[in-house]
Amino acid sequence: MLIEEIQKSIKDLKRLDKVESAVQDAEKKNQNDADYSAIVADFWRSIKTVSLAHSLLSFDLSDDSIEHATDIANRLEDVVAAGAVDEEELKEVKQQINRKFNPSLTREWKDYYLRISSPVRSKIATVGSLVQDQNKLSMIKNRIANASEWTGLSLKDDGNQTRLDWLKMSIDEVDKIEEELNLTEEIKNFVIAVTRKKAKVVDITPSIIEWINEEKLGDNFVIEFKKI
Amino acid sequence: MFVGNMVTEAIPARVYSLYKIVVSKKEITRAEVQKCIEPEGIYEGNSYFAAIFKAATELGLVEIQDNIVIPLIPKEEIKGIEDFKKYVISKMDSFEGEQFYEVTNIIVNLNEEIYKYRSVADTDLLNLLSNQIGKQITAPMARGWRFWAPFIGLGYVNGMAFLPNAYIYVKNILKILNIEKNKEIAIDEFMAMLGKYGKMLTSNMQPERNMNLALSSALRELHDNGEIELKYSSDAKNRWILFPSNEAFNDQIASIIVKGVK
Amino acid sequence: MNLEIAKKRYKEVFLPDVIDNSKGDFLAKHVPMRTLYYTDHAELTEQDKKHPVSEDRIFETIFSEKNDDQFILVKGASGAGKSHLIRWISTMLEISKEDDEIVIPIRRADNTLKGTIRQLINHPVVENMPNKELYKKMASASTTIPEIELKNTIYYSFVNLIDSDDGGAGTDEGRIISNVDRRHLVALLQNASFKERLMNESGPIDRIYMKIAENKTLEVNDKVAKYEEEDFEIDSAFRTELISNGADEKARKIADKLLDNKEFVLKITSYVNKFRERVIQRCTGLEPGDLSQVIDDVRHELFKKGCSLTILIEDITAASGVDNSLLDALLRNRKGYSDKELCRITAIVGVADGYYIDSIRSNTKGRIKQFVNVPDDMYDGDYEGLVEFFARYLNTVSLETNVINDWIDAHAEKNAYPIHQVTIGEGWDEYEIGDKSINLFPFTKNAIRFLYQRQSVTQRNPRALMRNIIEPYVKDAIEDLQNYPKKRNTLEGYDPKLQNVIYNRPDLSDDIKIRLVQFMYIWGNGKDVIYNENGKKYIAGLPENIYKELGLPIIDGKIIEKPKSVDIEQVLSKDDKLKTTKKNSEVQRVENEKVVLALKEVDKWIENKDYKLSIGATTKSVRPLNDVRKNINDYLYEVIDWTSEGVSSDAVSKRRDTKNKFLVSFERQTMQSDSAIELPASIESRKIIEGFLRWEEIGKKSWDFPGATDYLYRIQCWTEKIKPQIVDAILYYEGKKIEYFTFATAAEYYRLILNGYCSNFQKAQNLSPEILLRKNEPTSEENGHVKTWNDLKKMISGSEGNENRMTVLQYYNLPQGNVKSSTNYEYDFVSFNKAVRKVINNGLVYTEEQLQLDDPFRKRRISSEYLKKILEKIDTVVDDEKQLLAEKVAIISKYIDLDDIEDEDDIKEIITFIKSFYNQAQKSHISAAIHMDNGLINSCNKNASNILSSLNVAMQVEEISEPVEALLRLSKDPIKGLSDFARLLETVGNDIIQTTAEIELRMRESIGNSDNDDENDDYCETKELLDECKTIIEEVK
Repeated sequence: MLIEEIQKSIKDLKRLDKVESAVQDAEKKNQNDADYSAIVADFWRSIKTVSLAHSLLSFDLSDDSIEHATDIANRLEDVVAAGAVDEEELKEVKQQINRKFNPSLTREWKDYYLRISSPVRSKIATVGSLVQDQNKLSMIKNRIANASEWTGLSLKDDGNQTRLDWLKMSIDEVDKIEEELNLTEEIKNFVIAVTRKKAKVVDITPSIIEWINEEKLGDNFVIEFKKI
Repeated sequence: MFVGNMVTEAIPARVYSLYKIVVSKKEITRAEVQKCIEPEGIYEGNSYFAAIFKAATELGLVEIQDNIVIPLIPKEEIKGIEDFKKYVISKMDSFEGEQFYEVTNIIVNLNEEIYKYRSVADTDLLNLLSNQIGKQITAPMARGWRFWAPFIGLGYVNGMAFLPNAYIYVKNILKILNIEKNKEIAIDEFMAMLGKYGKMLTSNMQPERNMNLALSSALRELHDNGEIELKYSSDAKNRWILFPSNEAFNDQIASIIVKGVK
Repeated sequence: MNLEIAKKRYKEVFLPDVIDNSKGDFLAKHVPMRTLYYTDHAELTEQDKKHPVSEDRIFETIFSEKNDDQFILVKGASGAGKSHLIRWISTMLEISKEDDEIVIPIRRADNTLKGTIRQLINHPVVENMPNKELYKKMASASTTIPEIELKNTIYYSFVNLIDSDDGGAGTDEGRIISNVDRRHLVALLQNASFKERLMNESGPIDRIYMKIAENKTLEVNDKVAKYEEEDFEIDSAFRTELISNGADEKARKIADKLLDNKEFVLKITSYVNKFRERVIQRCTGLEPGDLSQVIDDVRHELFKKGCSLTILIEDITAASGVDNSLLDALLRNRKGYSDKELCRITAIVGVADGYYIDSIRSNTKGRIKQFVNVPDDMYDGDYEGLVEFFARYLNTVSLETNVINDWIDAHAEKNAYPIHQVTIGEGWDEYEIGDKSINLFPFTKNAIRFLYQRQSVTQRNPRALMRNIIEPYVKDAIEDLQNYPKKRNTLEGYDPKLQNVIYNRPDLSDDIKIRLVQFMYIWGNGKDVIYNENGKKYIAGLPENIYKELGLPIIDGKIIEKPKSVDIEQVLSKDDKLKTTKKNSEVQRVENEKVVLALKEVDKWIENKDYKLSIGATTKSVRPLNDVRKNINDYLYEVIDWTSEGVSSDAVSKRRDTKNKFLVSFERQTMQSDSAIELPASIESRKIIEGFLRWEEIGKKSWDFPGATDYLYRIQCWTEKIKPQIVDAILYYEGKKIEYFTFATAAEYYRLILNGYCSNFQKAQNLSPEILLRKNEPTSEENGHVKTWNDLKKMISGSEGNENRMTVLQYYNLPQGNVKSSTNYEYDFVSFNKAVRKVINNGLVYTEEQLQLDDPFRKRRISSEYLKKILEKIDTVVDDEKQLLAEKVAIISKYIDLDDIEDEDDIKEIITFIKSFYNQAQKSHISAAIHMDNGLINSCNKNASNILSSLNVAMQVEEISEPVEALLRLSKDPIKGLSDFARLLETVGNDIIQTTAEIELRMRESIGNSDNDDENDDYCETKELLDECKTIIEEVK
């Protein structure tokens, strides 16, 4: 009779709901799992990069970031604590990563990069023009520039070395170059001043002339009028 | 109706209806009686209940005790409208001096003069009555009289004209008196008996021992029907004279024998 | 009267004069005529009238002359007594004549020419004369010719004679009409249409023919055989006929001239008449001189014998055609014809006045010198003569023939006139004759006078008196004395006092009363006075024994002295002085003409058992009677105190307002009407009718008229007597008590039931009277009832239903007077209650026989017809309703087990489930969810108790077969109560089916979609990664 039918119907409907929502859930679960994997992978990549940066360049995260990272790692672990992805939690962690951690990383790297790249760049600026293999110098410059952004740091442009690797190598290269140039302080200052276009003739000391001649760099320098 | 002014709306049938209602229910209030007579659901207009009720109380049919209307006459005594009529007739003389009684007495003694008035509410008649009674009798009062007069059998009303013949009235009085049958009664004695209940009809007849038309017709009709026998006797001391007629018994009455009223 | 003799003789004595009464009878009956006039000129002058003479005188005068020829013309109007006089003279002559006197009487036996001729020829004197053969031939003339041929002969003889005339018609008066006119006249006479006119029965040709041919009847043929003006009077219709028939131009021309031209018509008529003699002579084959030849021959014969001749011709018109020549012969004075040797002749000839003037030639007229004039109204002013006339007739009837003959033989001496012996009628009036007296039984002097006066003026001659009065009354008296007088005469202008006394007697039958009144007024003096004379009691002037003889009762009256001169000497005059009522000062009744006329009609009705009283509105005497009927009916309706009789004023008015259904009608009335009471044709009824007549005509619709009291007394007594019948007439028809209140009440209950006012009642017997006394207006809300229910409801909620309701409400209402319907109700509640209870207890169902559909009064019958209409439909309504209800229940029971429903919570539970179903469906996005009707669900929820009760009703109604009970249950409108619920359930039911299908579909889809859930949920990889992260982070801290 009707009541029984209604009851049956309701039961069926509820089951359908469940099934349909279960179906919906499955998709979601996959989605969530995928998301989760992705996020974890991303995070892991970031941490790996931090690790690499640290080992190569002594890059240190701020305490805050470290705290965040720790937190994030914990939380990511929590997300699947129930056996399935906790969507909410995942969302929050994702937020944390994207809004806090990643920007921090980016920011902190940027600072650090500048810090480490700037002497290199000044070295390059200083001696760059003294280098015979300008191509190599360009490459070095490029390689250094490529590593400015955090996000691309782990990219392997040539399939082998990451940009971070190249940064490190480039920095070493530049150091090497510098060394090879046997630059005294005086010469350095002179090269810098020349780079800055502030070298005066007076600054050319005999030692400098000596150096120039030794290094055969005579063609690398021109005397210019001061621009007013 | 019978005490104080006569009214039109307390007609006999209504008073009887009220009485019937009262005896039919155990304890009934006045308001309930009114609802029966004037059914709320359909009644429109002014209520006549007060007048009807008053008439019923005047006649000693009902009264109110502790808000309940009780019948003063048990229903075994008034089984039908004929009993009701007889009862009312028996009460008439108790209203001596009241308007109804006086008007009746005047009209029955007008004899043939009443034919002049085509209506009992005729202005001339009203004036005559008013003068004789000493109080203004109006048309509604006369119309009220016009319902009761034929009911108690004083005559017939044709249109609005009253035609005296107290056959029913006298017959009922005879029933009430329960006179011994087949006994010759001298006329003076008979008239005295009649006067016990019939003064309204028989008083003020002029000249002495001359019966008015209403009474004469009544006696003649009773005689013609064999219910009584009017006897003439040349050597009777006191004789009464019937209202002259060319048709029926016209001798002077010396005595009457009651044979039995139908 | 001598009864035995009279029984034998009266038939022959009463033969009309013209038949040969025996001489004896003739003389015995003969009343001496005393008012005759003997003059020498034809027309009577006033002076002449002062000197009347008796018949004896005339006889003497004529027959004292022995020698000279005499011609005496006896003139007078028809029936006045000319021929009687002549006959008398002839009879007397026979008795007293000398031997040498020859008397030839020509009787008017058949008043034709032929008859006249025959009489003459067959007289002994003529028989013995030589020329007998010739005379015989004359007698046989015109015997054998057939009627039409003879008539044609007559007609064309006229045409011929006129055609060959010169305009003078053979007279010496010169040309009477012009030749042109004469020729045109011929053409007209020859025109077929015109001939047809003249040949008509009783036309001129017929009249002439009658004179010529034999008269086979005993009829007195007095018509003159000539043309009259009317024969030639042309009117425009006839003229048109002439034209359209294509009449000859000449005929048309004279017709035009005759048109409306009296003078010319007279001229033509008199002209044509002048040919009459010749025509008759031609047609009879008689020559003008034939008859006169006979006379002359006779005279000559007698001369030879030395005798003289007296010839008496009762009526010369018999000799039409030859009359003038006959007169000539009679007038022939022998002194002027001494060569012819003629005897002395005395001729006595009777002629009607008109004939004398018109048809006797003037020169003939000039030769007549002796006239006897017989006046018409013989007895006018001669009352004695009138009574004598009666007396002699009556006497003759009672005498044996031989006694009379003996008297004749003794020369009919007046003093020896025989008087009959009285064997019956002793004490009745007598007529004195000499020193003897003739008993007047069965008349009295009063009666004779009365009956004479009653005759119209033309019927007062002796012949008419004999025929109209003497003969019939004597016959009645002889044959049936116990009912004498049988004939009824209308009394007029009389003092009704005696009549009233008689009519008032209760011990007499109406027949006796009427007969007695007739007798006492007509035979007696119409007064209720008694006197004694010679030891005999006289009532109304008649002795006691007479009444006994007739079997009539004696009426008491005032005893008085015998009046000095019994007023029988009243002189008759033409003014009928009896009509003066002003002398009756005792009772001053205003005799209104209408009243009198109407009462005459009523008297006829009472007196004649076959007479139908004319009731209708047209005749003058009848309209008052029509009014009387109406007034009696109105009166009864008014004076009867209906409530005292236990009759509802509604029932009275329904009867009263039906036209042409009277309470009282008259027995034997012309217009049929069925009524409760028929007023019988009796004297009592007459009084009542008279009372109402006077009320209308004299009192001008009031009782204020003289004598009203007495009429009223009668009417009042009658009213009391018939009251039970009248009441029955209102309350019953054909023995059945009227029940229209019952039917109206039942119908009204149906109306209430169908409108849902009685839904709380289980059975008809539970209904209460009170519910009728409410406003109970028809409901118009939406309901769930079937069409037949609503149609019926509509029908009985309209004007018919309203009227019916009014009937119910008004029946026990007690209105003042005749107010028909008022909303001012004063109820006879107890009676109402009782009557309604009766209806209720009967269950509101009636068979067709019970419905009184044969009630002749439509106003009552409409209640029956109306109820019938309803009852016819009830079964259908109940069935339809039950069916629809069952359908709803079926729907519901498809979804719920009705046994499980015990209270309204059960219903609510179902509804709750339904709600939850839809909610879930919504949640699950099932398409059926859109069917969720919150309004419906909520209302069902609210009405859960109604639904429950509707279901209960449905269950109960299934079992109920009695239609009214079913109707009552159904009036709760369970259908409506269940409709929504059923709809809801059905919707849900369908939705569930739909939903189930949808679930299945979606389930399939869903299961197909979802991948196997075998992906590990263990997240190993990520965990590894995260661990590594953690380590690194530690490292880089």
